[in-house]
Amino acid sequence: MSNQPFEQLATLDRLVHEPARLSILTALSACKSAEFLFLQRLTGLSKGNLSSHLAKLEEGGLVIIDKGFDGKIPKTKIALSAEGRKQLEHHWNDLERIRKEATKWKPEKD
Amino acid sequence: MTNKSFAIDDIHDLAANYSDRQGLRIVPMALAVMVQGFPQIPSLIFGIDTMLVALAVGLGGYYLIGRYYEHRFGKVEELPYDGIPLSLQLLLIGICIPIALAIDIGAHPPVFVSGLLIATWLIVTAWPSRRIRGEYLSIGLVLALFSFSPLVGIPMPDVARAYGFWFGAMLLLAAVRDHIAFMRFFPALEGQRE
Repeated sequence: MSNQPFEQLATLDRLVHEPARLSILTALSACKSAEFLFLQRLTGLSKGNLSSHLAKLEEGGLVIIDKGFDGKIPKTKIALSAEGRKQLEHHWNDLERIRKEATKWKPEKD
Repeated sequence: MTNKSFAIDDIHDLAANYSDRQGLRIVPMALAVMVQGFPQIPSLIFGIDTMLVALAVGLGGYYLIGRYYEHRFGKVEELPYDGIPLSLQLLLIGICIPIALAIDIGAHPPVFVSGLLIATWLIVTAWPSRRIRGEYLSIGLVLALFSFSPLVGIPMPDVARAYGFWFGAMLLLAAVRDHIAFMRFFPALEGQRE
């Protein structure tokens, strides 16, 4: 028996699909860049947790992190990379396709 | 993650229209416009037209409250606006309003031209390509209808004062509504700057 759409769900890219990272990427897709504080407020994550998610996204080439100062105050700006935008779009397309397939799916008869 | 769940579209909308959603920024302008509707307000303060004072208070407040939002919730650099930029809108309105006022005072038209101009601006700008701002569209439509009051015999000065008061009051309500909607995105956790 094939569980095709459900099997496909398990193959989604976890780097993008994790809820906190998906929120971060979605917010970043709608703007040029956002400060660390904005993403922290939006996701409700602790500083350490958010930093860890952002580090993973940066390692994966999905975001660009620009650490700087505004006077004496450290400010980190985060922007979605071209690759990140592409991956996010793919992800939403995949989710939509799987959703459609799953709603039509019926178990095969023996 | 926050325990509040929002549609992905809403998160996208917030980031795309971050400054527009900061409702409190409009409050000084709304109050300044509202006060213009009170009959006992003099037309000059220290020799300066009260409308100019109101404009200065509104724009100054808009900037300062913007700094508060930035400090508390962080900054978002928005994508280029695909409609007419706000600065150009304000410039156009700044040029057109004195002309419209001159027509209202000098030509005694059957409609409140300045009011109709502001209402048209609200309706047009409430219809950006991103998402229709329902409250501003409603305000624009109500004010557009109100601008025709001289047709039913209400004297123009009374129309202008009542217009100012109701315009300010409706802006104030919309501003508070926007701010409440904005705050719902952020969990109670008191974040700190890095």
